[in-house]
Amino acid sequence: MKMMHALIPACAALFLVVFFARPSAAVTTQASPASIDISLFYHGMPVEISGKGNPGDDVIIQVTAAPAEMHLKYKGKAAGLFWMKLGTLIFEHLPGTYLAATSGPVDKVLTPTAQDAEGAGFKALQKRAVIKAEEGKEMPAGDWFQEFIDFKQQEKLYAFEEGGVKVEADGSYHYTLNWPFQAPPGTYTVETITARNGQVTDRSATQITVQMTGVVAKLEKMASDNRAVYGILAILVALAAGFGVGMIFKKGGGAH
Amino acid sequence: MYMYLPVALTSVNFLLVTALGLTVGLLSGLFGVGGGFLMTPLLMMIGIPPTIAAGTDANQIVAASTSGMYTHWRLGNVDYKMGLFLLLGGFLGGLGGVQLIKVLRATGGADFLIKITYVVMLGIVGSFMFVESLMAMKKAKSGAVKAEAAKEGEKKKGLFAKLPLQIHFEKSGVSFSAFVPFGLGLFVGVLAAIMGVGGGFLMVPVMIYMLRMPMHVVVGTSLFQILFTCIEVTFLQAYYNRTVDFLLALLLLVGSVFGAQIGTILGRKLHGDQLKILLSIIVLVVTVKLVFDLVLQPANLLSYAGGH
Repeated sequence: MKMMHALIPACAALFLVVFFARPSAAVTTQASPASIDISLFYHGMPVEISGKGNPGDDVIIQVTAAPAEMHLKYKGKAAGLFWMKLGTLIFEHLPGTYLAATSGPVDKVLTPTAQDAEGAGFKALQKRAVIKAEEGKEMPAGDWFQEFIDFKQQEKLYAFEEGGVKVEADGSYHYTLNWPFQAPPGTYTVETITARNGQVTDRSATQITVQMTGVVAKLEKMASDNRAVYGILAILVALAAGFGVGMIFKKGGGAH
Repeated sequence: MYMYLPVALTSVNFLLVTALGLTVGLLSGLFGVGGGFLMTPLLMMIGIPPTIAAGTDANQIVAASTSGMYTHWRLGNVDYKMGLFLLLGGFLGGLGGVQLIKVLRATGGADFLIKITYVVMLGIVGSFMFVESLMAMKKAKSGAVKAEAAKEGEKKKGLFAKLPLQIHFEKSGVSFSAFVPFGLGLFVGVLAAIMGVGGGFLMVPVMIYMLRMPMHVVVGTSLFQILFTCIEVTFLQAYYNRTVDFLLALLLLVGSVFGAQIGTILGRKLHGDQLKILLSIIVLVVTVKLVFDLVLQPANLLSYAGGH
């Protein structure tokens, strides 16, 4: 009986914690357009990411391509004087593309532990990253993670915008992502995480598909599947263009 | 304004790319060089991956050299006999150079050799052409140049006269053993393969100074040799490496075929020494840029594989 008396308030407290901590409605994520067509005159496009979260929550949006092993050449000094490519570094457990934004400074939105758990921000990515030299070679000295981030940012494939997400009083949020044309065709995950007091409260995800269409897709397919035909076609067009223009200029020419 | 490139996987301003093609095509028609040593770094600067830049460049050079060679052929400026020997030597030299690079890559010394060969060869060729053309222009005013050139020609002929298979090259007005253009082609072919370029900027000085061919025949014959080399390279790059972007090549060649024509017409209005000095200045500027790239710390220490 004594035990029952102790259990009732505990259960009530647990119920209240679970009830009030649980979001009043699950967070939603939409990306528009969800399908990006790479046509002949494609140069990237704005992608609207929006949804509904819990009033008062912060929002973190992360657009990522699946982690893949990346092999990059690194430069160093050869013969103590010349900057040259000296070898290959292998980067593991990092997404090929990472475009993220938050509704405020990341250190206020999530605790360091939560940042690490969610891989939110470059500091958190660094903790996941494994960087190694190619087999049989020593790891060169240097801040190679920072070099990697600089390289990816230069390519527009990595970005982290603190405070870029607009959150309304009713919990709805909105972010305009300038989708980079450098992002290769593939499937990207758009994940929205909501947080309160530095802790994750909810999450949802959707996908963005990027694919080539029309003449771009046909040429890419030919370059991959019919390499000989593609090569011969490229040569014939170049020869025809050269002779064609040569003949146009014929009237303007003449002998010595 | 922008066009997406399906193999390079990037989007470029097509007016800018066409303008690049026009500029390099102009050099091609003017000097008989393919322009690979200029175009490949320029394409990399606008975001084209190095391997695609090199492969596609060969494709656009096919168009520019066809356009330039067609006009030079009509003007009677192509020495096919000489071109064939150079081409044969260049082809075999290229095969040898590729094998040499394979061996060096395995031992880890390839990149160093490529860079140093590039700088040294460009530096020597550019400096020599510049000084020689400047002196020739000064002497031309005093009328002494023809006598000296004839004297030097005789000296060269004396050195090569003992070799077998002596052939007269009517178009160039010179007689050499077939082994001379073949051997020089072989030498340029090895260097071109090591440096990953067509070799026009090396072949042109070889034809001017070692084979003593007239400047206008040099340009036409060089374009003839470059055309066949780049046809082979385009096919091999598309087939084995998938590094030819047809749309990028199309944009470049739209500019380069017109540029080559303008260059050919301009070239006829300039004196041989003026052409040489202009080419030497361009080669020296590229050399200085390469030296800076080698000595100054790059903005980013990481890059994709391929390229120089």
